[in-house]
Amino acid sequence: MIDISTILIAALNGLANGMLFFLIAVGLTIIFGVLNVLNFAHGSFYMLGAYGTFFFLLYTDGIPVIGSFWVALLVVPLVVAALGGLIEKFLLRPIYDADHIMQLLLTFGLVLALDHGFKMIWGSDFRSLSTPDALAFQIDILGRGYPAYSLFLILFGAVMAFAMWLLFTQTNIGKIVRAAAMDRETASALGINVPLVFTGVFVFGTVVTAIGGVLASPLRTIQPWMGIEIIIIAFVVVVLGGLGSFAGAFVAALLIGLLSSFTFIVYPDFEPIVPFLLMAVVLLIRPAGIFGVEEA
Amino acid sequence: MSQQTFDRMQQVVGPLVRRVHSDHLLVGVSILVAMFPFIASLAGLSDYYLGVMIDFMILSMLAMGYNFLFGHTGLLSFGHALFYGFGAYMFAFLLTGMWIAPQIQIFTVAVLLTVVGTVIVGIVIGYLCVQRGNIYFAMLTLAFNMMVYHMVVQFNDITQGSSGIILPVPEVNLGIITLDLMDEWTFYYVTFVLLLVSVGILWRITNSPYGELLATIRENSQRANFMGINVNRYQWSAFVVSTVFAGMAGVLAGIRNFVVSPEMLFWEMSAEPVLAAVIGGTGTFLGPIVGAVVFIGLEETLSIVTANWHFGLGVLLMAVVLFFPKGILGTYYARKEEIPEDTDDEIE
Repeated sequence: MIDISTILIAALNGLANGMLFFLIAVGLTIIFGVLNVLNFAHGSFYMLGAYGTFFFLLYTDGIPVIGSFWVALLVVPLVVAALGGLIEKFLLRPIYDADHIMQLLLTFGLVLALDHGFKMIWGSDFRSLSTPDALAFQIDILGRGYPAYSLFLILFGAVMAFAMWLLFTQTNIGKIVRAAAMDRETASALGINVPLVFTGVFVFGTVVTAIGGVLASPLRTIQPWMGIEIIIIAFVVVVLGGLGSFAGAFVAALLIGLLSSFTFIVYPDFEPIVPFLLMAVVLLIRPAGIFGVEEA
Repeated sequence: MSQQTFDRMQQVVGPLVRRVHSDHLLVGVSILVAMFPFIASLAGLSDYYLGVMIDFMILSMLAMGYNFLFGHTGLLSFGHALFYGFGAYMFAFLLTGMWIAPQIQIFTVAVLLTVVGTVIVGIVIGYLCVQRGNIYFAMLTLAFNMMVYHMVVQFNDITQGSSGIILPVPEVNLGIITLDLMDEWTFYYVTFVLLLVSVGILWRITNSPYGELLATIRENSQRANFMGINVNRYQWSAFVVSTVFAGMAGVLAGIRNFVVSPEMLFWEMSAEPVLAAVIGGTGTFLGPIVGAVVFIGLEETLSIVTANWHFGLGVLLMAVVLFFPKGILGTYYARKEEIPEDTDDEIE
């Protein structure tokens, strides 16, 4: 029966999923906000984060200290960052001045190549990871056990969101990035190394997404279509919150997480469709998105 | 002759030259495709190759319709599998008698109803997708595509989930003749005729005032807006037109495979018309057909090497975008310098 603990646990599940959605969508939206490129292959970095964790733990199994989830959380995003840097430098940089259509086509080609490339290497078996030992316990919530890992995920996401907000609004780095986003030429004339900023932002976005992938790996099935599935959710998030909007991504991601999770208690079959229905409703009632951000 | 008169003459004669040019290619390809079954049987090729040619024609129809939207309005849809799959599923529902009384499971009625159904879905989805400009359009089409995919997999009591629906291929009674679509040769020519009709319709629309108006919007949507053209509405209508051909292609693909399955709705299916159009040349009328030849050729060769042959497609798409953004036919036209760029539908 639906009692208060069911609702509370659904809310926590929703927040945990929402934080994951946020980590993916925020990378997408920051990269778009600064580089003005929508990266369809963004979800592939999330997938790489999850697969990376799986194989890191597989190969380091039994090695003391190194063979742990927490080391993977440090190492895997760095490896993904390197790949992100290469992609930015050799694939995206030549087309910054090209038509948006060309950029979309290029990154769409990149999804096909990356997702099927990974599938070639790792096969299409479904894989899963267990929760890291340190968090493999349950916390009592109104008499019901709730996995500590999910609470950790909510907390981690919130801390990351706050840290990113500080970085972009309160520091010099943030100012430089916003200047480069606003006007490339002027920023360049002021002595800002714009190409470096662009590479930095792209790598930053992929790292955040890869962290999302690492964090998701104990919770979700690791399979070849996890990238495309998460990118679709990230699209729904940015349609609701506005491309390039940090706050929009945060609120929309949590909203979708919560709504999906509550739908699951009432009518489980509808859970995968809820984000899209929400998107359709918003497009009908408020085409400009919940926050009314002007489109790019 | 002064430069001015020369330019003027070019303006007048140019379109005619282009028309003849396109016509030659179209007639050439048509004759080849029409003769293929005879040539194949003379050369002792198996019916398998007839099937490959049918795949090529189905993809051509899908890609031609797709490029009507992309080439003419610049709207990049990553979700055309939605309509391809919808057409196939609706047709299967109608023919298996799930939606209508078994007495009226007539092939032609089912096809017509499917077209109507696809148009309605196209109107609804199209309306939602054109609300926010080009970048959002690409995201929204893919998102709604995957929504329908999830629905088909999720509500498996209606759609039979991932196993799909077996399609009973009926005999088609056209009054004068009865066609047996199970027969490979018959189905080949039915597909061929439908493709020719589709190309004809698209040619007619492209060269109508409506087609030229769409081109105006693509070239400068802001100016079109100032001219008092309701840009969204025209983009929306072009979207609906293009979905009809996707739905028809889906119906044909269902008949060809005897089964309608969720893969027809998966995002990879949406990539196929994109690839065919871009490889062939989105700025040209017949580019998608050229692209479809390349696509099917790659599918046939690469899928022998690896099941993940989409990897090669991804790499190819990136290479085309970076090095030959005009595609095969577009680059060919540019090289010949007869036509600096296919401007069939451009308004000076």
